Amino acid sequence: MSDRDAAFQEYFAARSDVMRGTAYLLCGDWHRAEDLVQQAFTKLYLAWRRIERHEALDAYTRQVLVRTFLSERRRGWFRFESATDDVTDSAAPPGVHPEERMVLLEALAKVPPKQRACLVLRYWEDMSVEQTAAVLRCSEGTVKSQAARGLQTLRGLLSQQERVR
Amino acid sequence: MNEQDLKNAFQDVVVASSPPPPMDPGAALGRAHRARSQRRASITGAAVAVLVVGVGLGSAFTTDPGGTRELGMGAGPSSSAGTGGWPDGQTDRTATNGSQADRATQLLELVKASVPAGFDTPVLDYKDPAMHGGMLRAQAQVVSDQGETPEVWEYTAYVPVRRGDGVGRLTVRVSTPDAQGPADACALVALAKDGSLGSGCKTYDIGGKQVGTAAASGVGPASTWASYRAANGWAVTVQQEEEYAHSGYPSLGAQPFFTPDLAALAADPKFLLGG
Repeated sequence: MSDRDAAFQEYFAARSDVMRGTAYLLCGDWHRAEDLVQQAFTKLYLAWRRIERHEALDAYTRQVLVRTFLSERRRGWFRFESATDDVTDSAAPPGVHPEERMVLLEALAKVPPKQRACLVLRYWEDMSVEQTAAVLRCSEGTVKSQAARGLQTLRGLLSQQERVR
Repeated sequence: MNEQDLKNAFQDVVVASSPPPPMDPGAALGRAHRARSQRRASITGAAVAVLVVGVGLGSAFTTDPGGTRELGMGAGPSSSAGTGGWPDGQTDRTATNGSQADRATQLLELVKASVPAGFDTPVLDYKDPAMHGGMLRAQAQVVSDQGETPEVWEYTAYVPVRRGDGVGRLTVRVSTPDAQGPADACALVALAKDGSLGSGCKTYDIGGKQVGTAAASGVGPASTWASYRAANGWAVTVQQEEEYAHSGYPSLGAQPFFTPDLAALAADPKFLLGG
């Protein structure tokens, strides 16, 4: 096995779970999340020698992941997506009611994709406004406004669902 | 719900939804190998095509280094060679002056002159004060790594296309030969469109030149890409959009070009900028 292959496998083993969590929050489906992660890591492998600094690997992979999500969403792949709770047959850990999880996932799925990406990058990945702007290829002002709108949308959706329940 | 609540909720959702077992690094590597093999096959095909055509054109690239250095392949001897720095005293990938920046300006003028009758190409600013720079602009950047030869340069022109109150956008990106880039027109347009293998490509034969086209589908403003790789390795992608994103101006309501005309524009040799 070449050094590149060994390094890639090591990096994948270390980081694919984290990336998959991000992808899951973006698309609401573990299977689709794994597809997104595989696509992102494949692109990373192809670009491996062009990424000089190891610390840039995370940024590159995350950027490809989010952009792939957004572009596929725009092409309609995610048009009929819906949050579902049957993606796994293992039990949820105690302390979090499955219904609460579904409520958030359903609400998140209704937030427009770019706002959703802003929310996930800012509040799940803990990225700064500047970093988020770089990933989404937009201005910092747009990140701020999209994140604020996304949060507002989410609040509205959650309060609606709360009233229904 | 405030920001901290959302952070906690994200954490709860991911943990509580019981993620599947970890993905297999070996399987991921296998898929990456297959993708690399496919790309190598594509690049080999391009190299053969370039060599065949090069029989007729070779002298232009080998016996006149002065000429090509000035205007040609963007791959000639560089001031960065041996220094490990960016070319010509640049502080990053973008050339803000000099011959490469001039090429971007040249491209901008060419694109402005390419819009269909009935449209104009005004100098406009974003209405959103958070957006940077003018809407009519060009950029030259080196996309190869520091010290890597040959250098690969990319020139991009962004042009607002206006009719009435509506404003769309025409973007043209021209690249000097890149051995790592795809040769196939469909692969090229897919890469330009969304950085993936994509689908739904349609090719047009423009006087013997193969141009790949792809359109955005689903929700969102209409947009179409057309990509062409010339025999000498230069690549051109033209994108038209019925709306200039984030500009604050209303959409044109329709794209300026019919797709065959957009394909013909991509194949226009004027965009090869001396290549």
